Amino acid sequence: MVQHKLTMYETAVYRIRFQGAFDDAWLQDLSADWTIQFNDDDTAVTTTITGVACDQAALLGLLSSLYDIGLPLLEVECLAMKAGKQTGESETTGNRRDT
Amino acid sequence: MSRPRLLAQLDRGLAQDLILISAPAGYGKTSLAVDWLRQRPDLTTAWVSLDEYDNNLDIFLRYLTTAVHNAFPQERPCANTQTLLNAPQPPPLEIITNTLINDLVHLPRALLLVLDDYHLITLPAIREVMAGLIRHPPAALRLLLITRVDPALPLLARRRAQLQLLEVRAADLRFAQAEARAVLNQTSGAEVDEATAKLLGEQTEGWIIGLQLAGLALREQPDQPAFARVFQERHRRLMTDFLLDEVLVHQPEPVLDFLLKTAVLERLCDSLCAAVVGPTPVGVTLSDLERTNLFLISLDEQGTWYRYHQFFQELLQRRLAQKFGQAEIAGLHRRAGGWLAEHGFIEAALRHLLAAGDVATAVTLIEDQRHELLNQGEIHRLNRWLGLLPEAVLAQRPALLQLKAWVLRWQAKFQTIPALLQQAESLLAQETETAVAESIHPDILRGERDVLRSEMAFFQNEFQRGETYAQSALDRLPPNYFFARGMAALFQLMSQQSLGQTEAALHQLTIWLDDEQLQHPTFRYLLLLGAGAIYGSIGDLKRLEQVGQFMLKLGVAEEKPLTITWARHFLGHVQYHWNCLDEAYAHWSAVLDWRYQANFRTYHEAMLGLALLRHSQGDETGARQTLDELTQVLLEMNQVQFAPEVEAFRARLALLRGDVGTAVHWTQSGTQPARMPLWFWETNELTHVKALLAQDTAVSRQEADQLLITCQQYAEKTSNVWLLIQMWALRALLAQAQNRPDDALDAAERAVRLAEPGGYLRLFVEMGPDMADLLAQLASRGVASVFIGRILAVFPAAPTAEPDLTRRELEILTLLQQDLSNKEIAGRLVLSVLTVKRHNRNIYQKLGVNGRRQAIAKAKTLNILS
Repeated sequence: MVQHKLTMYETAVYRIRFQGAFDDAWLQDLSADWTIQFNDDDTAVTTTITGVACDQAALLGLLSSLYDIGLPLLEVECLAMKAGKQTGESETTGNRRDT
Repeated sequence: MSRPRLLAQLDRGLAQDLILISAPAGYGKTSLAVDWLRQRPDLTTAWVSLDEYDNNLDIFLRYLTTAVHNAFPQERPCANTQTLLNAPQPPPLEIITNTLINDLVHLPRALLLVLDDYHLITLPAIREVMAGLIRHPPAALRLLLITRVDPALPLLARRRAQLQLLEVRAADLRFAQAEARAVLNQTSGAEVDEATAKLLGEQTEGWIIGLQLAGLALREQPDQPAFARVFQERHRRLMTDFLLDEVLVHQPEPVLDFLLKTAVLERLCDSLCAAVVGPTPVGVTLSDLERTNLFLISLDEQGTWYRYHQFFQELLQRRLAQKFGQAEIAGLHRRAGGWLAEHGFIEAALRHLLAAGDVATAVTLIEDQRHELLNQGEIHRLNRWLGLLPEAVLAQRPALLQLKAWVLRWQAKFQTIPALLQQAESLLAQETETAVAESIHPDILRGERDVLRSEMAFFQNEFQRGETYAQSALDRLPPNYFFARGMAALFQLMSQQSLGQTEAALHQLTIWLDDEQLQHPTFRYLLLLGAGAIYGSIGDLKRLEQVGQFMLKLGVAEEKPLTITWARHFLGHVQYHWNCLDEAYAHWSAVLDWRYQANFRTYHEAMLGLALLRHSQGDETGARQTLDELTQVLLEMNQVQFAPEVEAFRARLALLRGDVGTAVHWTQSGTQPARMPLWFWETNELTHVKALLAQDTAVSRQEADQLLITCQQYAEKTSNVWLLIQMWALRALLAQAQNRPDDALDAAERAVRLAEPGGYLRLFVEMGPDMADLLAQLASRGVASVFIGRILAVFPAAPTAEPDLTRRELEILTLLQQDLSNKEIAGRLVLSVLTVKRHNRNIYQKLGVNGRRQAIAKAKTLNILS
């Protein structure tokens, strides 16, 4: 997926999947650039958020916020380097954007 | 190395209230901030370096406020926040946050507050305080956070989007090609060729610590390009591991040994390092190492204390764990702990000892230190230290169990203390070892225990036991145990006074106060507290005032909130009774400033006093709000045991308003607390008596009589003159109501004679116009006429001028004006006709008239009716 080497300071697009869902209050603190998709499986609700983290400190900051509010991490994937070149598979169902 | 581009970026950040330097370890974040501030001496700065042990709200706020005060030593703008620190019962978080914000709003000038290594703060409470600060940014405050990971701060994304935030991130901090070469030249001490510099720059991605390690490694390399190629082809090895190996492999053995072994230390000085590593050869001192650029940061001007660059230290620690066994590493920690303990760095010593698994020495250290800390009033620190130890260890050490009891006492959690003392005692009984350390000698431990027992006995009104325990404690405890001995002295003095041995107590007090050997501030404070309690109980307001003034001076000079608040508490009490209401107001208000560090009783009674003052100014709403606020605080602070006293006070104020119904309702609620000695207000029984007198029935009067008999017995038994004055005054009113004028005058005279030396005025005024009549009669018979003249002057204008009609009576008066019959009025108000008639009689009496028509006319002239 990722073409050239990723560094600590590179801006990149990430897809993060975790168990559970968060409410609107928490969404306000998330950058408007992130898309949120709630997945209702048979077993449990999972959430996928996709968006740009400007570097590793920002990505880790986001992940530790998820940790702080008690949402277990399932998957983190780097989809593309640099903002704007989103190449993730299109997600059409239940897509919700926060503004 | 100066980096003008980044410095300019930071300069621009001053236009924002928040600057974030967020990048991984080793990117030169701190160095950049230090460089910037060196170039900007015009900025007033407060710098706080955080470490993982700062995940404690008290410690965090202490560092923060101290840093701010170092920036503004004259103004000390965070003084209010500091009053909230180390409180036995921590105030609610929002109060801390709001207080801090308020303090910072009043900064005298612009301030840049730097929090370095902010990612180490994981405690939710601290994060919440910081979130509050970010949400409500004080105008003069600029915040610079240095962190490895983006912090969870409110609306960070929004601020970023709206450019309300300046960020310096890894991409900004990384060294570009030209800069990278300069770093390599500087650290290697040689000219690095361009190709090698380019390759190393790419490999390290411009990461400063990588470049520095590479530069150090280059020092010993004859062939630079060859080294760069090996570096590039290092394959699956972590870059830093590879570079560190290259650096360390060329160090002489003693230096390598020194670096690895001292990596366990948070702070380093030569003497501490020698203790940990053993004697090192010439040339291996910290200043030598700093000169060879081995990631040491000097912490003071004199070059005594250093620390390792954090990332370098982490690398060294990993290497240490690979090279040495657990036992050897534990030995390093143990030796570090020993040196630190010997040099007074107790908390750091405890951390090293516990890291060494040497719980026994850690325990001994706490046991040895505990009395010094108790003497200094640093119970919060003892509490923290106890928290470092495993519970199971605590349960085996009588000294620590008792220390826990002292902590609980400080937190006003008395319930579990007896069980802890019991546990300690049974351990002591099993003790077979005879040669124990002096600080935990069974005699000393039993002495400590007896101090706590003495206090508990005293508050259960068991004064003989209180006295005996106190004496036992004083016999057992060494003279330099000032706090424990002071507490024993306090409860001995108060017990003696309550046993009627006032003269003996005061004599002993003078001996102690004059003893040169005992001039310790804590001991003296406790003695003065005892003096205040005694003078308050024996009704000697003049001496109480002197004690209060003296304590106030001491408390202010020594910056001791407890001394200040007790002093204000005493002085407020005196001034109120002397009818100097403005002075009383000033003292009680000042207690509120120290609400969280004061003994809770002083705060509680100051609030009651303020409610009473507001009532006396006719501000009924204010009085009620004060009591409501107090009730709220009792809940918040988990001090509900004080709640019944507030309810009694509501009844007392109701009576003063003439609202008998509310007071009677209170007497029937059955929530009256046990009598406590040392109660500086009217006891609840006395309020109860007032309510019964106001009910004005034969039955209620009989009940009042019974209560007064109990009260008199208690007051006489405990030689409590203050209680006796009130008791005789109420007895006078009772006799008056029972139509026994001679008894009434006799009781009133007793009250006046007891009150005159102290000069009590207000308590008579609170008892209403009937008391004024009695006093006037006494004065006309030549009894204490000057003193009585002073009391009468304080009474409000003649009682008939403003009759004190209850709401119900006003209602009935209005209906009387409408020419309704008693039966009709009874129907309207759902009362019996008899009750209406009783109300009518009261109305006539209060207005000084003999019938309905006169009453209406009089009420009109007094503007009660229109």
